[in-house]
Amino acid sequence: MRASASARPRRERPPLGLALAGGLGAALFALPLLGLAVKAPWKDALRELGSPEGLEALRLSLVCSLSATVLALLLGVPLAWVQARVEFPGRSLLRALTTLPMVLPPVVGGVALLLAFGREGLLGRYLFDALGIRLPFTTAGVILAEAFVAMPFLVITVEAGLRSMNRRLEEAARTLGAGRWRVLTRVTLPLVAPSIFSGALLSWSRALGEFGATITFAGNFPGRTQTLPLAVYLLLETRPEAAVMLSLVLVAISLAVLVGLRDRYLAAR
Amino acid sequence: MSLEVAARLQLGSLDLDVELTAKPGEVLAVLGPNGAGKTTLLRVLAGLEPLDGGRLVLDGTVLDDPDQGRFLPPERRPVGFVFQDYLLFPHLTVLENVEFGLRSRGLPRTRAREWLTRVGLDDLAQARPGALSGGQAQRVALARALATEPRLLLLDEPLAALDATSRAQLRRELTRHLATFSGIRLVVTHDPVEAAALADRVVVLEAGRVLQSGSHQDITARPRSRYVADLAGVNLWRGQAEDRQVRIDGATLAAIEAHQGEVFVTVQPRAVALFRNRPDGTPRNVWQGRAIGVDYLGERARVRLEGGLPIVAEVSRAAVDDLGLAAGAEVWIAVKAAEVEVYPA
Repeated sequence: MRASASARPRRERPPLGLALAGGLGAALFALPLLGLAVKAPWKDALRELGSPEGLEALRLSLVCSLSATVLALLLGVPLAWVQARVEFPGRSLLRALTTLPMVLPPVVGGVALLLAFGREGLLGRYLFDALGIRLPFTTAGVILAEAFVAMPFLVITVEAGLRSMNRRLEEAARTLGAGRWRVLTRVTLPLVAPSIFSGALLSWSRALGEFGATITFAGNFPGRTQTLPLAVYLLLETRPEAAVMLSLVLVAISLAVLVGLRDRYLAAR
Repeated sequence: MSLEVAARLQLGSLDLDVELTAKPGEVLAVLGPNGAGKTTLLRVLAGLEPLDGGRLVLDGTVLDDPDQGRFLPPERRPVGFVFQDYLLFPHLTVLENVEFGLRSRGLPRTRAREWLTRVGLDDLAQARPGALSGGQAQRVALARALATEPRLLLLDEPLAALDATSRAQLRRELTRHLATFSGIRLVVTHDPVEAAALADRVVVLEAGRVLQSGSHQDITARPRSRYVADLAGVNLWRGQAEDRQVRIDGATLAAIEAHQGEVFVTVQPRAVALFRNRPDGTPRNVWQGRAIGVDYLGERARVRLEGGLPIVAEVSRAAVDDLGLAAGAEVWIAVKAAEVEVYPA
């Protein structure tokens, strides 16, 4: 073999049609974001960013989306485990139910939440009468609404991880003297950690962008339930340039997290 | 330290019904074709499959007895398991893998180091299982299983995942490591060489039943199934003996020893002679047949023949050419009565 052999391209060239369609797909994502960036009132950017309502909405968004992610983790991982590992009648129904919020219009989700946790709701009535807990139109309500919409992403991802992991590793652990709890904490969970991580990230992304269920169930009170997406929507009426600015903030945060965490984590595997 | 097994279990298409015992310190090889239930038997002993019926007793401790409603879960059995694909925990280092069992059973972790030293992998303690060769992974799996000092060690096809070149060396190594362990060892394999090398006694398992058990020599000398006969490379038939005659599917073979009733009959392929014309001599068993296939092993050839009594003959490559066997020639087959081995079924 001579020098020409080493000049041979190492990677195969993709089929033209596929590359073209892929490029169009990328453009579909990139163009609207470009629009945001181009139309942004960069001159007033800093002023808008520092506005109290913007900061307040940002803070609330972060607090609520992170809380919703934690809630989704606490409830979603066990739910995924049950769905993946326990055989029981109605399992497919349960699986359909847990993914329903992904296809349901978020507004409908919000209405459903009101009917369940509202003052006159199925459970909300007792929560209020007996414990004095009120969820609708509170920050806790925002967290609940976001978790409702975001948790399916976690459940689906973790369940897939649990199903695809080598269960014989759990058997190996048991023959080494590990009881069920130790198997779960030392073998199962560490092995599906990548799925839990991706699921949590997806959930968080979804929670951060949540709008419909939140505004329906928790309303739009600045400082209490007005998250970034809600603030953007309202500002669009009164001060569009501020809305654009806040949108950019939302884009920047999401992008930073997705690039920084997701790719680094997935690349390491 | 003894093991008594009476295991009955229906699992899919497998109908396992095995009885066997192991003496203290014995190394038992479980030999059998794929799907015979070998791995299931190990899983039963480890507690990964509960029995439908029967009873498992290890050193007087009942491990499983469905009739009495007793079942000791895997984590409470003094049983070590080396899996075919080793099943090292990919998220833990080599050392942590060995420590896993010690921590689980509340034993001092320092033993993990000792075990790694013993299997010669001290310098790989911090490596991840993904970075190990097949042979190294096997040693880690062995160290991990032995570190908790089980009283019964189960090895499922310990050499199957290794390539041919390293297998011979690793078999010697494994024999050496197994020798340092004093409990009962059960090695599942489908390789008779492995069974002979590793075990004191061989148990042949076929379709969920124990067909034969004994030393490797005993078993190959007197096979009781097509599977073992093929492993040993001998002709095997089942027939009816009447004195020195054995009737097999309409054909009759003459033997030297007298027997009565159901018997097995074996003839070594190299004891089968082939002639172009009807031989006129001492062999008592002579019949006509036709070659239907030839397998070459170096200068020797194994010729499969049909007609009369189907048989395999081992002849030289030159003889195959002389007699035109590869082309399916008609030949005369001769077997001396002295070469016909007969034993009760």
